[in-house]
Amino acid sequence: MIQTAFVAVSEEAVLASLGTVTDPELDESLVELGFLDSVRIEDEGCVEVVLRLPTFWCAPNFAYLMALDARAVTLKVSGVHQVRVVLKDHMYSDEISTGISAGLPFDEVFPGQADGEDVGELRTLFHGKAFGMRQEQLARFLLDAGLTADEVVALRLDDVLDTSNASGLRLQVGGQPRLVRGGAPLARAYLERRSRVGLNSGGSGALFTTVEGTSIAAAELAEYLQCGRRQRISMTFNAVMCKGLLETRYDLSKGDAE
Amino acid sequence: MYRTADGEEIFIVDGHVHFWDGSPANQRNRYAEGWVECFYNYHKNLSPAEYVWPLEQYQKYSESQMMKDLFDEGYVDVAIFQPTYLRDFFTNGWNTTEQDAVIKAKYPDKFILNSAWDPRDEEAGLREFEDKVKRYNIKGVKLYTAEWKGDSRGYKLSDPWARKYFDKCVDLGVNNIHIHKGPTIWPFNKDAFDVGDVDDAATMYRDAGLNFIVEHCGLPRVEDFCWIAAQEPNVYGGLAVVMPFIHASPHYFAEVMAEMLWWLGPDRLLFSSDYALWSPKWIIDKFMAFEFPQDILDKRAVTLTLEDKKKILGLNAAKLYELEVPTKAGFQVAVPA
Repeated sequence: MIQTAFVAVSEEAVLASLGTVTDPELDESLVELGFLDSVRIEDEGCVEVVLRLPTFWCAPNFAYLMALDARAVTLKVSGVHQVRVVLKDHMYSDEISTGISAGLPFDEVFPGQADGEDVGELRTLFHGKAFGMRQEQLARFLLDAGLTADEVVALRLDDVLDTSNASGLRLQVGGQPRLVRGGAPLARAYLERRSRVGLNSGGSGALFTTVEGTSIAAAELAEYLQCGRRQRISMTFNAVMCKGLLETRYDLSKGDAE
Repeated sequence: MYRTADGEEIFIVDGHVHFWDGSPANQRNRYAEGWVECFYNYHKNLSPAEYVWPLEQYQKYSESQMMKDLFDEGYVDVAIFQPTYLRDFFTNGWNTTEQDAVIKAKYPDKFILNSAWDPRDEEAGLREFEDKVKRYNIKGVKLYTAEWKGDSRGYKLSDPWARKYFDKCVDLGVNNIHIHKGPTIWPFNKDAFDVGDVDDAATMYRDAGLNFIVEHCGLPRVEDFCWIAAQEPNVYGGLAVVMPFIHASPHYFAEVMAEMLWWLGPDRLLFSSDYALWSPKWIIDKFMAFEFPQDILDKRAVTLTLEDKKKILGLNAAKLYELEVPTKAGFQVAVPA
């Protein structure tokens, strides 16, 4: 559409879109992590997005995935027709900034350094880890709230009645409605991640399944959740490390990583 | 030697120390500069303020500074030099076996000298490694799988040449293999931190007696490391990088420590400061005072007794390196496992 070039681009809309991009390794929004350095809206629908990372050595594949996603979501904002992504202060600043802005695939950005596969497999692997982490948080929360393992594994997706309620998560447990205080954000996060890994987020299927979609027996639940727990602890620990390094690197005060 | 308030003595082995040269004169390129900057930020971010050095001092510190920080003030009885060559970045290398050997010769009882190898050096490297082992009586190696070498951005422990080097380690009695994963190993499109190749090597060389000490417990892939270590009795966790969190984020430290104890137990964890990234004194002080908060114990039934702390701080490493522990400090003279 020719007229999109003349629609004024809203900075707020660009920031909101960028807020949906997550660091696949940490399962957190890159805006919340402080990885967004700046956004500049230029004339005629061109947007420059500058990213920064905690270290000069951050793995190039994850840097590429974030830059790729940042470009894709910004291109969808009304009025935007060109996006330049700049990754600053990184060992592959030039390769990633030039490659992403030109829309190149990974193996063209890093010729000879990839073995044929794109980075899709890596993304899938980390979506699976994030799934395990979010699932463990929700299941652990429900167990702590007093549900038995039998009740937890018997929950169906449509037993989740309301995840928007500020005072808690509305569920149906054994056919009885129940409000569990404080669990709504965990349930939203988990259901969102189910959709991303290609599983149903509604319907009569089980709420808790493996990432492959198989059901979990009550007797196996505790051991199964150990795996998600490991993933959660690893990811949250890495997030603390990355945020701390970013603060040190860019001299940000604590809690002001935006 | 650390002494508790009750006068009990604790034998300290620092499992991972460096004597590096990151000064501008030794930097070959911007990667070297990026390397030092990254290390310095780790140091600044996790150290208590009073232990933060100026950048110039951090780039290149003196022998006397190191001796003071490790042995006079840092409680350390024996420290293990873990070389990291990085010749593509630093003209004389970042921290080589040969450089460490000079210090070791001056203080033979204070240091264990480890070496390194790189499977990409193939046959010539194999001979050179054997020479070093014989010359310096080497018992351990540090492998940095993400080291750049020409166009190569790293190697895997499952590479065919790595097998030949492991075989050589078995032949020469170099039983302690310290592994450090970095971020740029080939191929770039896969997870560079994946520790799966450690699993394969640990299984293959278990009966031959090789021990695999995964530095910083596989960070940032602690979850995969725990899983592998739980199944392979010859896999150990080196606590470099993990331990300094005891100051900056004590709750996260407790959470990770609880996982380590749950999956590996207290017999397979090794204290290390990663000096000069961090200084051992404050880490040991805080670790000795550390107790798990109740909310973590509610979720993970683990314990960390004084005996466990002694193992982690020295006795486990003493066993791996067959060090004699003063009987007052240990419950026994460490014997080969």
